[in-house]
Amino acid sequence: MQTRYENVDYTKLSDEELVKHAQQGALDAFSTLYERHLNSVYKRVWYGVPEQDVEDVTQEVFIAAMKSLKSFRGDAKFTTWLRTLTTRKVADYYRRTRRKSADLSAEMELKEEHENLPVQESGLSTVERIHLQDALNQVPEHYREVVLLRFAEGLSFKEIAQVQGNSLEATKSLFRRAIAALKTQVGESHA
Amino acid sequence: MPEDRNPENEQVDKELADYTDRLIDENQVTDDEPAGLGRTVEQLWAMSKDSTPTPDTRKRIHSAIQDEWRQTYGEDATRSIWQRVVAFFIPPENEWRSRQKIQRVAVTRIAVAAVMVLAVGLAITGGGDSSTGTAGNGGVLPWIITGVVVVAGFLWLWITRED
Repeated sequence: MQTRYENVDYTKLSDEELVKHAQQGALDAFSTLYERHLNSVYKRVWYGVPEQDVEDVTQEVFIAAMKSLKSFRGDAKFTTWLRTLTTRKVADYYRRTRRKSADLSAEMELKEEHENLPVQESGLSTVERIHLQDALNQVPEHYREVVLLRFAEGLSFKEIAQVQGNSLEATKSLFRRAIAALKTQVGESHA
Repeated sequence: MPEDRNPENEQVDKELADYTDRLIDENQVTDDEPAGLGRTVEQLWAMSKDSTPTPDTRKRIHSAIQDEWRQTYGEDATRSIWQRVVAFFIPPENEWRSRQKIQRVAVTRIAVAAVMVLAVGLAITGGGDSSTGTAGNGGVLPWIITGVVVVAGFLWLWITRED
């Protein structure tokens, strides 16, 4: 157990070291983990659930991580563990709301009826986002994962290959197939 | 997964192959999308650009985590009382809180606390008498004002704390 007056610069510690400190009761260590991983978790959730629920689901991910921190033994990397937790929370969201991904299409139809649809900073409209999200929810899990690692987390192909334990060529091939499947899916959604 | 081999698919496949190779070669992560890849890839990047949490979102989720932590584990066992008092007035630096913002927040919070102390002092002296230099007797009014100032000040400090 850390002494009460020990002054630790948590920003210099690795994820796994921070987890150890947090397991010993250091809230600041967990806060540092939160600051470090908020963007990637938030982005992952953004690709999965409707915009108005992204913040809530992101919060659920971190609170779940905090509560199950004691069970983290360090067998896997913290990022891998957090990624799994995020995927599970997004799935829980759909279970809880009894919402199927197909319902996103219904939501989109509803939104299409309204004028003045919000357009994001990037120029992507809400309808386009829902189309894409719907398609992403319908492609196989391994396709979705490679797309999320690439676009949501911004990993390079080399990093994706390391995360997934694949060769660079296999990763590139998987990515190409995932994009092709997604394109087909988007085409079908628009049909 | 077997792919349909038609000229259109092959063209898409070639474009994607070129695209991934280019990204690897240039170690690019975002921006500068090559033309002709199709709207889907552009939209995926656009979604990535839009999906950044706002400072308010960061703060709200962090506050919720802190509350939940205190409910689950109690106060941070590794922090001394003194560290907690300091953090109450001077929030710790982090990714979304710059040093300038911390200085601004700290000055405001310390000023509010000083006003509260001053209000108590004034109530005790009853407002004072500047002509004679003796403590005055303002009756109940200074205490009412002090009560309002102290309660409002404490509530504000508590609600806006970022420790």
